[in-house]
Amino acid sequence: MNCEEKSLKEAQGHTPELKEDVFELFSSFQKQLDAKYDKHERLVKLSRDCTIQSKRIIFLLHRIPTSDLEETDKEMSSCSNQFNDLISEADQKLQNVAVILKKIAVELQNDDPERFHTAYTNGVQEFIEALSFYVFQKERRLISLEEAKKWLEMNVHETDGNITKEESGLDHEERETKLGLDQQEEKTEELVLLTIPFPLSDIDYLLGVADLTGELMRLSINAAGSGNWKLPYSILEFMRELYCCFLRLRPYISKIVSRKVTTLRESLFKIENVCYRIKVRGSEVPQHMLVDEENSKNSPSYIQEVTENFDAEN
Amino acid sequence: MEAQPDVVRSKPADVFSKIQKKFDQEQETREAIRAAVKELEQTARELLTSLQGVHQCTKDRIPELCTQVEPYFDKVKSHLSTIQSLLPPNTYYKYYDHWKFVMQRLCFLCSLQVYLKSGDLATQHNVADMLGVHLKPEDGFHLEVEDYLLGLLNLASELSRLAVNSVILGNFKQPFEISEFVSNLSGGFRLLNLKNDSLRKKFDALKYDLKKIEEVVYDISIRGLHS
Repeated sequence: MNCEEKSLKEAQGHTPELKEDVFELFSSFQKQLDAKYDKHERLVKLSRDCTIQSKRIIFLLHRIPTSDLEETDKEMSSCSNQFNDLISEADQKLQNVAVILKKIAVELQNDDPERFHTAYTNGVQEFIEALSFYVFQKERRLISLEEAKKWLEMNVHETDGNITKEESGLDHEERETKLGLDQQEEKTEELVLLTIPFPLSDIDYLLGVADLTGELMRLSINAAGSGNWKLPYSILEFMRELYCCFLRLRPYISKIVSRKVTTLRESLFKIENVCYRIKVRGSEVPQHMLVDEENSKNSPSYIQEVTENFDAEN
Repeated sequence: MEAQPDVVRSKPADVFSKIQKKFDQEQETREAIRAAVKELEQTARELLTSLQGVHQCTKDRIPELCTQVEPYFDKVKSHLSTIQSLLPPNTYYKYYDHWKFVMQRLCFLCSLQVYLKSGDLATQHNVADMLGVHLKPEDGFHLEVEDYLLGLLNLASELSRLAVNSVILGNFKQPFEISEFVSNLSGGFRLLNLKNDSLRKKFDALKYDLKKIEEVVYDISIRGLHS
């Protein structure tokens, strides 16, 4: 008799009015519910790792210097080494997050993913935000849902996916049987686990892209602050396109999406303001002074406001 | 990320309209399910109303009441099979919220019926058979454990009320039977490790049902009414 069975028997001893058959019945419920809640917790933990790492990738992508970036694709690839270094670092980090998503997929393999969706949705949204921001910084365009799915499949095959026995989410008995396998079979087992596709839902993609717009707003403000006046205009055009896409969506899809569209609208207004200031001030103020003017956006009170909004959203 | 020549780089508007189409299809399914669930809810309501009769039913009339409500259970079965047929494969949890509450009510009604007929605790298996659904997600449209458990907790509340009403009808034995039954149930529930959700809250209310029943038992015992 293992630990759990012992404690169940003790529980029965403490409750003498408990009939044998009721005891049996509820013992099995205890096991079922424990298994379900444990799985939920494992997914929440993985999702949290995903969120943390994705947020770091976003900060990394913001560190790409905006002052010498041009808006066209051609000129982008020939610019500074710093850009290339940061982009490839982000790529690598995104692949690491993809491994975490793979672990989530492994947990979900015998279940309907919708059953535990609330456990891992935040992590996925954050990842999509990071991935789409990466693609925007690199290629100034929006990654599509299909591309995001393909990216996940492609990159995990290339990684050296070291999913340990604990992380693969197998339960106790399965793990013990697996340990009996020889090394070769274990390796194959791990590779098979890696081929499980991650169930990326439409909703998570939409929510991630909606969050992307907040980062674009920050990017445009930073760009203006460092003297790059072309980038905010490109971002504005891109944002308007996205805004229209979201507006066209019927509201019954999701209340959360509708809420995020409100935030998106406000981000759009901020970007329009940035472009307005560039246009208006650009004509009357000498260049170097305008740079200083925009840099006042780096003043403590303004940063406070932006940070507060950021915290409120998250 | 390498260039992907085989993947067409779609414009945002195309990406979104594709997503919208998928949701439109889903919405059609939802409307159909909603309509079917409404029918199911109506039948459940009628079943509940009929079974309320037990509170003013003398002991000998109970089997008759149980037979009278059988047709409703058949209707419920057929509604559920309609809902099952509307679901695309492997999408139970996507639409689960539509029928979650009515399923809890149906579990309560099934377990009440079983108790009235035989004094037994309906197992998850029993209830699933009565409703014509599966037990495990893998097998198809199934009965979720939590819904079944919530049904049992509702049963406990109903029985605490029945204990009071059976005394009114002069049935002094029933409260003792109910007391034993609900104590057993409570003991079973104490084995569970619950999270702070609606199931936990409902379970916390179980002790008040127990208390009510114990008071009835006490009132009868102290006056020797049951002999």
